[in-house]
Amino acid sequence: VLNQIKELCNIDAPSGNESAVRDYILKNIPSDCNVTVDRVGNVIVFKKGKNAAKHKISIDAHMDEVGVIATSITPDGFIKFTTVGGIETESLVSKRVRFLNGTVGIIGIKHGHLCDDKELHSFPSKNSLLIDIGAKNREEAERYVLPGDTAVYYYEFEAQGDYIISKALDDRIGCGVVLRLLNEESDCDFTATFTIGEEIGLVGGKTVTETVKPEATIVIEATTAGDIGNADDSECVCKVGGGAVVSFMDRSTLYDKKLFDAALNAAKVLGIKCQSKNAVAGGNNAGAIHQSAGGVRPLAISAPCRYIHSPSSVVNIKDIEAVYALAKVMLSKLASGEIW
Amino acid sequence: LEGGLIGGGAQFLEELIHLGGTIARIIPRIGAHEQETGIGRYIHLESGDAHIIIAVFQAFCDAGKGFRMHGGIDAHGLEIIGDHMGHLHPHGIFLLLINMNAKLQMLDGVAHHFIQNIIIIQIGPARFLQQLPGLFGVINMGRIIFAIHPGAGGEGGIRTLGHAHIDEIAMIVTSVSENGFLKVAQVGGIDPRTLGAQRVDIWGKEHLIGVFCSTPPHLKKEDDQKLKLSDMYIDACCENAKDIVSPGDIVTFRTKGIELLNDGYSCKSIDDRSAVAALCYSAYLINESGKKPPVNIAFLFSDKEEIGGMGAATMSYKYFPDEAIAVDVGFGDYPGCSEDESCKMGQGTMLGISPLLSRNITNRLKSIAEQEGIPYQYDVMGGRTGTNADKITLSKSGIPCGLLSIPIRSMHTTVESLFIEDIVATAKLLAAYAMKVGE
Repeated sequence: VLNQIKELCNIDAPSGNESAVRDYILKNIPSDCNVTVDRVGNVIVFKKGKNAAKHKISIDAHMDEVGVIATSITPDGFIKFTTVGGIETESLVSKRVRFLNGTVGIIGIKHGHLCDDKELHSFPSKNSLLIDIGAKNREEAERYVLPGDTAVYYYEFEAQGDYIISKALDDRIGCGVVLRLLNEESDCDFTATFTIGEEIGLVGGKTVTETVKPEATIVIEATTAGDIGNADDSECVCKVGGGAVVSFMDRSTLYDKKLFDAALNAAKVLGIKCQSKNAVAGGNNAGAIHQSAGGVRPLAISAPCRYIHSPSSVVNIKDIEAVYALAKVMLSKLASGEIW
Repeated sequence: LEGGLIGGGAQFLEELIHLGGTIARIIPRIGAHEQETGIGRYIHLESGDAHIIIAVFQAFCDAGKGFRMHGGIDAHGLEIIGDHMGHLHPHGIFLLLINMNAKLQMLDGVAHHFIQNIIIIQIGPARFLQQLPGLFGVINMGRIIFAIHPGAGGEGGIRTLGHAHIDEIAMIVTSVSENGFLKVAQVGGIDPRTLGAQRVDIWGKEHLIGVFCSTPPHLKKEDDQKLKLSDMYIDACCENAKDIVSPGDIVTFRTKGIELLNDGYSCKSIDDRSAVAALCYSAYLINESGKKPPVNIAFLFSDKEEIGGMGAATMSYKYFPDEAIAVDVGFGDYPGCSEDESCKMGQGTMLGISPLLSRNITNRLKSIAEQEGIPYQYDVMGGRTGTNADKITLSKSGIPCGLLSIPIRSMHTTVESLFIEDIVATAKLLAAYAMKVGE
């Protein structure tokens, strides 16, 4: 499991360039599944279960990750860029990035020694940041990078005990969990969707739902954990190590209360570590899915993730296990109609 | 290399030996070993076989691994390592130095031993002195390496000192919370703008990887809040951090070095490992010339520059050379930096000019650079240089001092960067100075 997440995280695939992760997923889907790739690049997988499903359920993970896109090259050979997906300035300053053609660069900063007090103690504006690939001028830089080229964080996956530190945990965790479910025997038929463009506005979630037309969906995600430093419990949203996170509401979705309650209850009954997401913050593909194709009942099960959208997001492998276990149970209970 | 003996370690080493020291073959092998065992982080070497030490060391460097080195390498080992010099210089020397995951240690830490070994590895094989160990003097004053090359002048000849500092900016743990978050104080100037989500090495009872907390949007306070290290936490990514990490433990940045275009390179610690590399390479060049320099040359690799230059102050007092040339890094150009406060990247060594420095040495450096066609540029300061030249100049009754700097970008960050050609220019000028200063 760990190895698969590592392989998934180390793939570079920002929104709009999901092909590398798609190829990996296609290679890892068992042959007994019915697989289609739709015209925008979403992967739709029909998995046959032991029984026909009473309700058509989809389970979704998005393939893309946050990144940056080159907008122009300065005469000195620096690359100006904007972010693809939501990235905070602090996650960009003094970090390494790699373009999809392999060109590596760094996001530098004016020497601290030459800054005045205010400049040194506040973030530079995001649009002042530049990528330096070592080019001596624009002409040379353009041989490697052109406006429109995308890059992602250039940081490796690392594991320490139960903790994982990596870029792209959002949402390669989800991809890994869904792949695992596809590779196991299932109680009922279900449809898995691996979607494009979540980070830039839930693009794949919207389009794929029109094709799949599920009655309910389970979105598998990574979600912001605020249990850092001295944050008190009310600020934590959810905690790393606290188990799978089930959402009642975020900024794009008011979740199906019945499914929310059922998920918490199932976790309790089966002894799966679980917590609710105690803030209305963030959002995921459920926002698009639940209001497409005539309406879909949404459920989101996420792994708590610190420093999300940074080069060093942190999750606990036990939480991923809990997400997997709860997703499997809910998939079965929803498809069979045991919960509806 | 210190650490626990890995499963099947002896067998694995055996295999490495048979790979014959080919670095390109060893690196993937170590990677594969990690995959197989999941515990490849520590390799324990008792063998004094230099082939293996250098190979494993370099493999670790290239893989960006944290590691420690204890003990020394014997003369025989140095000779063997000397054979590797062909593909280690100058780019290789630099990569070797810059990648080492050394920690700045206050007292007798492993970093000191480690760096000492590396410098011996680099200078020794250059046959800087013809034999080992008789003429090769390493005076270890607890934290400092001092390699002395007697020149043609003999006992009473002029003594010239080259200097670079071996420490790097780091942090020191001030508290560890129950839930595994650390507070740290800076050991050297940490740039608070660069820390969000930055990975670090925590050198506790065991090595831990940590991550600087970045604040999720919902916890962000008002925008104009002043960024301060004292407000930040490090996530030790470990449930029992409290048992492993204690106040006083050192934290360093965990950065993988990357190569940029035009022989550019980016990593942490370029300040001042690039200068260490320049000194090592100049030793190599002096040796290659086949001539004895007219002056006695010593190299001082000092500690604690980033917290005040104690190493340079005390050792230049003890050795009291007739003159010294400090080598450090300088401000390279970057958008937002004005031309009068920065130098051009990739356009040669920065020749320090300041009322504090010896105008004689500066002029000699300049004319030798002109004669030899070594690229240089002016780095003019009104007084203090902000380098160890300030310390050496004031040592004992005073030591005339020159300053050469290697232009770098984003100083004191995890993405410091430079062009190797500027290290080479600096090393060439230093070597040329040593060979010509008596004329």
